[in-house]
Amino acid sequence: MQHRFARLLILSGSTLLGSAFSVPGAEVKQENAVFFEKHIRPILVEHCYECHSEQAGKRKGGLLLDRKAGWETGGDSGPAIVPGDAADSLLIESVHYEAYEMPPEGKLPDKTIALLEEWVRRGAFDPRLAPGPAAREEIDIEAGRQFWCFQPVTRPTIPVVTDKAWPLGDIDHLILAKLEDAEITPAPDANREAILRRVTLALTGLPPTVAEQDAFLADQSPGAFERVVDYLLESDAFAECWARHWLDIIRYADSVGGGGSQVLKDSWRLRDYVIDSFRRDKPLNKMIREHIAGDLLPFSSYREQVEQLTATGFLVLGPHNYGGQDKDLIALDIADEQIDTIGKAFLGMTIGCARCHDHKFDPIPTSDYYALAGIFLSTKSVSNKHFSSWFTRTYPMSPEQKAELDAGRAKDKAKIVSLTNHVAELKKRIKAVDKKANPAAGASLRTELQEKQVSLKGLQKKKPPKQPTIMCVGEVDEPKDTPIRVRGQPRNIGETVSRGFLQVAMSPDKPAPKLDEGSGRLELAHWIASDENPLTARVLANRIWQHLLGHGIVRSSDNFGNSGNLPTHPELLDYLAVRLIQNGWSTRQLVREIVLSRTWRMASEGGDPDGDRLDIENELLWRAHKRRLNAEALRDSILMLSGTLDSDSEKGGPSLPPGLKSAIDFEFTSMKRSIYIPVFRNRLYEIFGTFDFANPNFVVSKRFESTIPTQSLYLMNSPFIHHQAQVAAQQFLEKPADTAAATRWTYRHILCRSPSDEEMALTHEFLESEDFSSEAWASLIQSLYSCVDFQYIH
Amino acid sequence: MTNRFRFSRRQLLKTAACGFGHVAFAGIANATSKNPLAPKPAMYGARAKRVIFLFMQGGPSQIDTFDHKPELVKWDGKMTDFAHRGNNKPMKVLKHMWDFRRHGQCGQTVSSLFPEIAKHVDDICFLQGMHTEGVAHGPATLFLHTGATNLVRPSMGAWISYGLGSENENLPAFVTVNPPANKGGPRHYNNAFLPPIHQGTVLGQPGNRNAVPKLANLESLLSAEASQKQHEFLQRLNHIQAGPQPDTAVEGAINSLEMAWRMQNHTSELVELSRETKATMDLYGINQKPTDAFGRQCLVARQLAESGVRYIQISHSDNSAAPVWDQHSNMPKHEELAMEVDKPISGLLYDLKQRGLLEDTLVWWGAEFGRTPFSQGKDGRDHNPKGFTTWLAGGGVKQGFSHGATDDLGFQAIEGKVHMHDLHATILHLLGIDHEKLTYRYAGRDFRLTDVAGNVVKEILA
Repeated sequence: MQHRFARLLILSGSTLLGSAFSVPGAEVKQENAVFFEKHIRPILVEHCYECHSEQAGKRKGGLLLDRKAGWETGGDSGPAIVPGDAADSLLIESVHYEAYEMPPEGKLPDKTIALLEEWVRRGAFDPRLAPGPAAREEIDIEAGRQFWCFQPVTRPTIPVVTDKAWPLGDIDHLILAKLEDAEITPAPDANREAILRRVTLALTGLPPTVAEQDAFLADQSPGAFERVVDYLLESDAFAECWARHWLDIIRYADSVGGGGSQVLKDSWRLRDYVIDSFRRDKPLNKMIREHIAGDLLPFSSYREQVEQLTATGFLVLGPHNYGGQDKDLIALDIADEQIDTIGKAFLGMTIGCARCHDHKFDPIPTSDYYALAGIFLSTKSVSNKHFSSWFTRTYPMSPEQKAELDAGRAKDKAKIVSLTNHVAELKKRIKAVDKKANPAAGASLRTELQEKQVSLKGLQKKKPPKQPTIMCVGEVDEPKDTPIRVRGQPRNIGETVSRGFLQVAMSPDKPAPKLDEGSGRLELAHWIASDENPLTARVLANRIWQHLLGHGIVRSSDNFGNSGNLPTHPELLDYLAVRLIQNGWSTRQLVREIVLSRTWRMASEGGDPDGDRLDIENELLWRAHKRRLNAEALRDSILMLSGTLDSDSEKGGPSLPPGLKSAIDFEFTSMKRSIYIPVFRNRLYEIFGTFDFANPNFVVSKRFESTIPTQSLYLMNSPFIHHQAQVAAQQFLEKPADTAAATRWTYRHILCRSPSDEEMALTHEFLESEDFSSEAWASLIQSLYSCVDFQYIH
Repeated sequence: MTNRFRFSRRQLLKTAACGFGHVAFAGIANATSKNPLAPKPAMYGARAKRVIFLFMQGGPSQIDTFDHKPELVKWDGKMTDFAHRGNNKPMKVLKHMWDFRRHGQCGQTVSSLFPEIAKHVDDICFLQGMHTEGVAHGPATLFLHTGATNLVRPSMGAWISYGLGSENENLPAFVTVNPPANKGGPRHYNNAFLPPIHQGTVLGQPGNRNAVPKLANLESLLSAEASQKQHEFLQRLNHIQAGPQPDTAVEGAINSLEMAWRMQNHTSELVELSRETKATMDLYGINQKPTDAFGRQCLVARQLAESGVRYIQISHSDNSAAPVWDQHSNMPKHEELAMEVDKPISGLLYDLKQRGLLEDTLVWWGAEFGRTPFSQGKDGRDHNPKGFTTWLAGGGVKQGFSHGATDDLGFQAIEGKVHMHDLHATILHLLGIDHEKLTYRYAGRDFRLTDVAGNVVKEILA
């Protein structure tokens, strides 16, 4: 300040001097104008306009340098020039390569810089009077709330339909009403073979066995399908299959990725937690609360305590580069990843966009981002030693373990006391013995003393058994608000914002909660998981629908914002969200209701001949979407069909051998279901990598379904498929005796349906040409594993 | 240029239509309209059609290779203040360990580490003022490949595949040979949020620079006859199951199977070096120690370039914690490593030139960063992202040219600075792509390789 004041004095001094010599103002102005035109304008045009002018259509950093008003208003970092004060002008600092490095292609010659300084010192005369850049538009939160997804969820009225016979329930009414409006008739029901394969794969990720097919085909009674659905919903396989969907959205992995390949040896606890949660049909909003703030939730049992703590592993699971040097940047990047993940996974919002500037499409100002960042920067997620790493805690002890440990300690204490006495006693006795008279007695006493001393030392040094660790988070000692980082630059500090949530998704009638105790993470968890949150239930219901039908009602299922898709059936989405909440956020209930609808049971082929013309994308659902078998279903089905799926050994537990340091050293040999195979970010299991497994670096709400030649090469030539087909052939050949029956059985086993006459004839011709050898059967089975009716779910 | 892998419709019918009524089927298989890799036109005049990136993982030292700093001799063994150069404390200078000599018409100095590459200086454009992000290998290597140190972003090759598609319907647009397995691993050839078809196809084995550069699962485990029968059976079965009017998904699956079959039967020559003459093999140093392994990589790179692959990366890398060129101690090891690559790279440049391929192929030699002019331990050098050398040759860059400079001790880029983002922008520019316009909408916003940075280095354009 003092420095500024001094400059001011000098300035006024020179003005005084100026008037003393009575230099007319007009002349100075003329001189400055000439100076500007001769020196400054050319410099600006040559070096700055490319990125900071209207003619180039660029306004990098928000800054325009093609007009006076441009540098006066300045860019994201404020005014670029303080007239008269070169040292305090960002523009001058930047050409000196101090604040920024401008122009980026290379520092200007000293002479040029001196001219710019001179110009600023003289008051930065600038005749370019084009109107200033439009002020940045402020985000209008209230207007933003009018967008559909921020409106409260409401139970829709169930529409009346013309075809009263078709609907089985509310879902069907909501679907049929739109189809009738579009004059498309829904496809007929899928046949029983197809529907059994579809439901079994959708719910468990495995195909129905021949016995299950026989039982279902034989059961013609009315509740047959319901019974199958209920049986499947209760199975472990259901939990394993649906837990995997959840792992996709929480970017589950067993190694950090980033620049290193460190393994996350405790990740499996989180995976087992998710599977177990689905097995017990834990309310989905409870899972969300536990993921975000499990360390802060009350618990009534040891089991609950451990479970909740384990769940927070979700926050530290991201693909981070712990090798970075800049610890502040690591902290910001981790908070960013947490915000981004939570936004996409649970809120369907791309909040990460607001790190550097207000969100361009959604009503999320940068201040909202840093309100959330404050919460996560007040959370311990990193342990910063020499090398940073994820946060862990010692696994809490169970009451039994504690009791055992305490009892052991008490015992040891008593032993220590008695040993100490014994040692003292022995020492006394040794002193008392006449060494010369009785050397043997002295020696034996000394030996005894030594022994006792060793056991005493051992007891004194005894440590409690080493507890395993658990990946989780904690609260920092002093939670605090954090400032905006202008343009996302860690050291470009802006205004500090109070911790908080997404304003646009909060009810305007309720006061924002005060987050001054703790980080605010607990409050955030409760807000996201609340029945009133307009986003969460919709996002989750939409995803369940997507997993079952192939596409979400909002197709961009991790982006409900303005740049995402609009719901094709907004009333249906709200209906499903309401049902989810009503049923206590139960996955099973919602899955059950959807698969029992008539909508879900439509055939994937045929249907209204006008359908393709009127709705080629099948957005209105006039028939079922044909689905691709995903990586896990492909592998697990093949293992099951070949009889090599390991379903006996213990299911969960550590996925990595103890002491494994790097993913590169791991061998994929397990025959367990795919969910138990470790997911290394830098080294995916080959079949996963080939068949569009979820990229474990991101929230994957919907997987890609690519069709690329490397997949075909894998199916045709990989040792894995080849071997599985051979194993299967050995087994199948023990089954029915004649070729026709064996062929039929093979088709039913693999494709879950009987072969057509054409297929029978072709298969016979093929086997015959190879003399019905076991190689021929293996080749047939491998072909069936590769054919379109196996790869797709009808 | 003749393309061995592009089939005429007639040839295709001949090869595919062997019994079982394949003629009708071939019609479907030949449909490429929905091919996401179909070639796309450049945005403006492209100077290069493809890129071969020679990745020297770990960071070769610029001051021991292409950036001659006589001043270092004066300072050798003395402590000097690097503070004004952006290092926080005085360090002991370690002069270059190899002699430099001027080469070619242009007079570029090259050290005795690369006597063969030195013969090509009149074709090369040196960027001696490179600088980048990331001091550790992980962040810097990710930055080199994806333009981001931490966030998961598509690899440069994936961007180029997405931007230009493949020139060859039988081959992917982005191929990476023996890529690094560490310091980011698959992220270096990942598609991230781009469609998976754009991810780098791996030949050979990640992290093993000596692996034979082959595509996985390209060979059938069955006899040729059995494999042929199986394929015909499978395609006929698919045809029955697809029905007379297959939907696009099923059609795509059948298409893809057919392309795989063609790759298996016709393009296996791709990685078959035996059809090359002995003279060519010798040129690359194949069947000679210690150049054999990298020579094979270089020759495969030329074959892939000939076949129309857009972005080819070959890597002199490994999977150890300290990558291959990372001499924190024992700088003399540079000599061993240089011997492995010098002749093969020279051979590649000769070969591309004599086949007229260098005109529209951009060869890029470089690493994630360079090394310090001060010592680490007795005879090592530390990482240096502040200044290092990269070179380009061929497609659209000036020949026998050098751009930019580091300070008198070769530590920090001071003139003609080229940031890694700028290099990315420039390479895209040479391919006829405006780096600011090659964008992909993901999670609600448009992403690009150069994020919000990058300037085309116009000074080096021919």
